[in-house]
Amino acid sequence: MNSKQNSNDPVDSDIIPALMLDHVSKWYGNIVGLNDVSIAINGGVTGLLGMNGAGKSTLFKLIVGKLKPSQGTVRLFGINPWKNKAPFSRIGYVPEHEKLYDWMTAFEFVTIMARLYGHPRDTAEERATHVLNFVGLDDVMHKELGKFSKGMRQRAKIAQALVNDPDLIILDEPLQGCDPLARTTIMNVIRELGSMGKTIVVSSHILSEIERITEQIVILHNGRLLALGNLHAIRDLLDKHPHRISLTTDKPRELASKFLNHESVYGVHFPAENELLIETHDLGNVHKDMPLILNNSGIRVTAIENPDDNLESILEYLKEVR
Amino acid sequence: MNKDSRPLSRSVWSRIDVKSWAITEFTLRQYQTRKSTWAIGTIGILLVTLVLLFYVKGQTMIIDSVDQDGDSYDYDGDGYSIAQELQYGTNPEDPNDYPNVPALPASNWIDEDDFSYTMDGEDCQREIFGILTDGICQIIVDDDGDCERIDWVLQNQLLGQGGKDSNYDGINCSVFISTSNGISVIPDNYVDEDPDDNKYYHETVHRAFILGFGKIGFAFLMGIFLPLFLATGLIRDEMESETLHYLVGKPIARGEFYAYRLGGYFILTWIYLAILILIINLITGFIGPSESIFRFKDIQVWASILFATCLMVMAYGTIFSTFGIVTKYGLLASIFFGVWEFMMAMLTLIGTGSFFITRMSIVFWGMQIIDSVSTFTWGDSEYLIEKGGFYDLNGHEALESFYGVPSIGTTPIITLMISVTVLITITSLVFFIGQSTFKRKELK
Amino acid sequence: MTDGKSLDSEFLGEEGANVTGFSRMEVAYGSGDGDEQATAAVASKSNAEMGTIFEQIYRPWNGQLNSRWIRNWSILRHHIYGMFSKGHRPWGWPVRISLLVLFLGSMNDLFLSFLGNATGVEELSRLFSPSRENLYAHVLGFFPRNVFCFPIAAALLVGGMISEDRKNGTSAIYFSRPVNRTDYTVMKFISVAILLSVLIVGTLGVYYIGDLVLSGEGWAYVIDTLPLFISASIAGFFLVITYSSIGLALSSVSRGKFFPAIALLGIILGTKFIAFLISQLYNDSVVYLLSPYDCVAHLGQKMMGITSTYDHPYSWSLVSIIAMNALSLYILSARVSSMEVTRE
Repeated sequence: MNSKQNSNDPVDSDIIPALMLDHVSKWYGNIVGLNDVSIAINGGVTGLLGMNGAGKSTLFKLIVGKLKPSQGTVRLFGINPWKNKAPFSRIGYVPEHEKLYDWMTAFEFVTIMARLYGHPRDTAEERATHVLNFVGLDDVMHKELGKFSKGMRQRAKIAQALVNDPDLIILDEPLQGCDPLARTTIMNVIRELGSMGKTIVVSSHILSEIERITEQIVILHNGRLLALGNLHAIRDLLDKHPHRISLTTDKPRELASKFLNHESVYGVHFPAENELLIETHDLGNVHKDMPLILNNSGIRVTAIENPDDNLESILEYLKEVR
Repeated sequence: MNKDSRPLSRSVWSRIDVKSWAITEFTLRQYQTRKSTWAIGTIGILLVTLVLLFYVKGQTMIIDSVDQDGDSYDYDGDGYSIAQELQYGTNPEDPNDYPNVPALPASNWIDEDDFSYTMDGEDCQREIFGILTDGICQIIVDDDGDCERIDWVLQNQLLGQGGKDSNYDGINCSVFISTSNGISVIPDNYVDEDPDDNKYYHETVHRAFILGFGKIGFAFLMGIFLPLFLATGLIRDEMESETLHYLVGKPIARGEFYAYRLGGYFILTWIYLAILILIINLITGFIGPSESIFRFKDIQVWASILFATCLMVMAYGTIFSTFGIVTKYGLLASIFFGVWEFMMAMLTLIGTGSFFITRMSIVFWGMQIIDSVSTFTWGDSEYLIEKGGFYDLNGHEALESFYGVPSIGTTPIITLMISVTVLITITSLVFFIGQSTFKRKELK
Repeated sequence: MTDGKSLDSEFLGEEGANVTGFSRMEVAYGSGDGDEQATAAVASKSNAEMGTIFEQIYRPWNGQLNSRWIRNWSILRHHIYGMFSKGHRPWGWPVRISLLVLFLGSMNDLFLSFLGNATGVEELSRLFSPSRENLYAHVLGFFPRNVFCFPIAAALLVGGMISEDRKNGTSAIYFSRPVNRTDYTVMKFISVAILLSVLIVGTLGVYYIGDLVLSGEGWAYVIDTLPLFISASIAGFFLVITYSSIGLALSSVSRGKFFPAIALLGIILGTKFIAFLISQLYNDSVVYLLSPYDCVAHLGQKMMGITSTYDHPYSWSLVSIIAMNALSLYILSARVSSMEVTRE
């Protein structure tokens, strides 16, 4: 692996985390981009969650040495990425920007990127073919990037990040603007990379997406670190918090009576003619028993929604807890 | 992925090589896909073709011969021209006194003497007009022999222009080149006094063409506009289209990245200029006036034009792309700088370097390179201009407009070295500023 | 509404209602009166079967638009006011400062003439007072105005005029309004021409009138010099139109403000110097026909009765200038009419 061949690298990756931020702040003029963030990430897939403008991209740009921290230290494999470009041979970065070189084919693009890591042309072409296969673009790799759909472009961007077999992969909103099929493909790619033992950081503002990829999450809000840890732990916190489930059905009142018997349900509402809103303290418990209750009642339910199970409500809740 | 795909034997240096060529090649491909690159290249070729057409027209034009010294004229109407009467010692003013030989046609004494002046001669000191002067002593061939003939005393009396030693250096029929205060040519009368008009015209206009086209077409127009078109966006375009993120997220120092990108630009412009100049050199070398089939001496001057233009394209390219890195108004800064250079170029051409302010420009030093090599190759140009002006020969104005001697007060070789040093120093300095700004630039 | 029409008569396209943009705004935000009136027919879930085709109801809009010149005026205003205030087309501050410097630079003859009057140096005031040559030189003198001030100003003005609309897709903002492409192009042209006229003809006027006032000349002098001033102004407008049409044609074929600006400078100065080279070498002024500046200058010399510096007849220059403008306007109109309203 390329990380080992860098013989004069004083850093041993077993001890030093792939990525470390220590009390990092970044402001642009009067606007605070990132406020006193400290994290260390080593191994596994980490989801970085936050609303637009929460500081996700700022964080990534600090990590890949595009911005200089106003305060604090950023370390990539123990090295300051603003000053020293050496650790970049061990990372792959997928920027959020849409723009690509439209006149190049995917193969040419990934090949030139591989050559920028220092591979000679033949090795670069070999690697480009390999990674384009891996992201599932093997059939279109000799087409120009300008003719690619959004999902294909995202995958081409991921391919260029993977071409040097990096230890740390940073993906800035890789699922943005993709249709469900492309989304699934990209998620599979990320999961597979995770299972190969790489350190991966993925950012998104949609919780359910991240949920399908990883359990380890970091939540940023207004430039601050709001939560850090296992998704289940955060969910457990949430479960203690009043939570609502919305059911769309023909007979909401009839169905309500079935749910009121459940131990975790403490209230029902009828916000619309054919809608039932259940209030609970223990979301997991209700969800566990829901199929049985519905099945027994024999009432047709056309939709089940968790209006509180999104990033906004988690953020709301976490802010309250603080 | 294959973990052993890279041989350990490859050194750090060979890896830098691989990256540098990758970026250079990428830059070239980027140029290749842009329509504007092709448009500019085509327009350059069209302009060169246009100017070459005029060159061919000028070289094929025949200039009527004029008897500059007037010795073909039959002053006394006895059927013998002045030159023939002088040759046989008869009085050209007396119709009854004429030689006892058949009269030769007057055309024998038109276009009788060629310019035979060169820069090679020994350094010496002579008293010129009574003042001891440093210079070069020339041995001149007086082709028609009218100055060196001892029996031609009458001629001096007749035309009354100061005898055979009009520069008063004590030697008859000599030419002295003074180097004590710039270069000036001080010849005796009757040396090279009746040149072949046609030959003179073609020679001077050929030289003027090379110098004028070299200075205006290449150093001045291509030197400024190629970089304006091609180099201003070298980094700025990538920053604005946000594709720079892919390129700088790689293990390459940004300074290196900038250098290799400039490298791609240099290769493109240098090859373009080299091809254009080679073609023009071949065409004008075969068509131009020459004793052999090809004018080999021109190669030196064309090489200096190519060299000067390449250095200028390098300096401007670095300056303009650095403007683009430093500020997002780099284009505006480049335009103003370009216009400054434009005005300095005009002043350099008009004042042949006598305005001191022109030294604050790139174009002045570029033209100094061409001037110093051309004085070296075509040292007799000044003599051609001076004599041509004296006899009002066709073509001397053209050469006078574009021929210049190096104006910083030293010998051509030293001027050449100083100019090259100045251009390379400016380029390196600006490159250093550009790459250190780029290194500290935050990419949002 | 004062004329008895309801607030949404504009939206509903009732006869005689003026377009104020007010009710449409309300509809866009889905609140207020317009919302209730303008309910859309949507499918209700209960009776929707696969393959149902819903009845499509379009409400005809047969109201009155404001007159065409008002719409065009707003485009023109958008470009010109941007020079002075916010909220209109943004001209960057370096561009505005540069234009100001070029404006003052174009008036250097007035300053010198003023200096001559103020110090009483007869030679200076005579050298720079509005004579036939000086009026010509103010508009068409090559150095410094036509090598420095006017081409740069033209390059800065036309730079992003159309190309930036193409690059950013902002032309969609125009073309989704009741503005046709000819109007759009013509207004862009007039905006550039007006700003350039201020620089070229405006400064001529300031110079002429300023000098009259400063030197206190009488009516006889005015009557003598007025025809010269008028013909200089006409020559100035020729210059304005030529630079604008070439510049806008370049702007319409490219993206970004960079290429058109440099290309305009390249055309004006490049052709001039190639022609200079040829005329110096071969005494042939015919290549000057390729140079837009020289063609206008030749025409100006003829109009103002100044000894021509060109050997070819002035009618050739006239034909050349007409051909240049025609070609540029053709390219401009062809490019704008085939412009795709997307972000390219």
